[in-house]
Amino acid sequence: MKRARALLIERLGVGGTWGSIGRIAAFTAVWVFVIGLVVSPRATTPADRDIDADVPASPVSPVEYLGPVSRQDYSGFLPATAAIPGDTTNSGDAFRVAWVGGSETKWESRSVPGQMTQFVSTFGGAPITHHAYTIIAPRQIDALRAIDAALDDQPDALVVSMNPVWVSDEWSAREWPNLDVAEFATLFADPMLWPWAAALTSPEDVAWTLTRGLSPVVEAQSRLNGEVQDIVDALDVVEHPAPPSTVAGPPPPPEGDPRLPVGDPSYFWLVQEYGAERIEDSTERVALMLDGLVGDDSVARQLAAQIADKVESAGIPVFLYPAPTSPDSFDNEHFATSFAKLQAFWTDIAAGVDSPLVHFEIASMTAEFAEGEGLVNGGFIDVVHMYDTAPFAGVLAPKLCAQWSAAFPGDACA
Amino acid sequence: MKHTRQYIVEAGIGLAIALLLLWTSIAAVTDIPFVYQGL
Repeated sequence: MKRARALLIERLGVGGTWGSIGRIAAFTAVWVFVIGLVVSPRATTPADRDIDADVPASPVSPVEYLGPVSRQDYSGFLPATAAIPGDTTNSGDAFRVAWVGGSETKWESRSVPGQMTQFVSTFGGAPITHHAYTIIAPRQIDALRAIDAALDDQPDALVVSMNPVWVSDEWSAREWPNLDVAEFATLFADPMLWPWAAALTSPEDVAWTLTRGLSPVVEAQSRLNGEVQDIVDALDVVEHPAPPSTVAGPPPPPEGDPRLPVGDPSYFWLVQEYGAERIEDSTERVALMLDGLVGDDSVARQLAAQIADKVESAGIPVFLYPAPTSPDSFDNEHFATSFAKLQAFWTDIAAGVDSPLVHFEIASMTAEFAEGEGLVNGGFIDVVHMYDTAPFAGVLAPKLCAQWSAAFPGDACA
Repeated sequence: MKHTRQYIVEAGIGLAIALLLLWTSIAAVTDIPFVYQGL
């Protein structure tokens, strides 16, 4: 070590002065940039998603899902692409509709915007393209970032599904890393939110955002990680190939965190707050969510007002609705009371919005579609997830079209 | 020309650090426990 140090510093002068250290830093930055150009990994696209929606892509009215494509992807929403050939500008040939929501909007292969394409495909003669900015169980901070990402892509209309957990206390829902570092600056836009911005943003978020911008290798890190893993596995002579098992052993443990109940991921927050036994009943669990995890909704109100301000200033038709819930959920008294609180919460927020372009559909839409023939429990798997999103999309479509027609007189859906 | 060797070594060290940084960035990827399931 001493000899290497002597060679570098004393004979070559490397690292012995601030100038030399500065040059090494500059060379490092240049190499990171050059390696990115040389390796040039392709950008992640919506096609990298493992599970697409249930409806085949419509050539007339395509849907793009722009949420993170994998469980390792912290890099935020993908940019919307021109899904229709020739639609090279965001306000060009297509009528672009952005969707913001959670698992009630897209859950594995089930999708509300996907089913929308079965009811309407054009507006004012222009094909409708849908861009979905969804993540599972978004909190308000996630919704704000999703709306930012959606508005960055200059849609012609915005549809926002208000997730039940939005009325929960933000702090209690923040016990894991930022999920979308691409929009980490969202909260810094409003001085009232600076304390939250400082509390919820780590230096790591800033560093990842900067390095993703500098190098496409870092930008593609989550996909490259999987590819490198495959290579490492192939080269692993000790474990690969795995010897065939001739003796029946115990079943493999379920995937995921063993401390969590198997099933709905939203269990996590409530297990933390109430313990596993209180949330066995999914209706009670969502009622707890609607109630707020710790009963203090001042932060929820502040962030909801921020959402309202943001969509109001967008200058495009914005339709916000509480995620529909199953018809039998209202049989649970706690749930019905909690849903009423949710409606009161959003009624207050909506009262602060003056723009005629923004519509809050506060009333539950469940009754409008859940009586359909052949639907078991109104088409719901559980309280908020539908196994068939078509009936709901059928109710939503005319409401959206009416709002769009009011905003763009003379144009109509077809 | 006087410092050519020095600059080459500095560039080499920069390259090594850059490779380590990029390697680390790829290796640093971890699963988010549950949030993106079902996307």
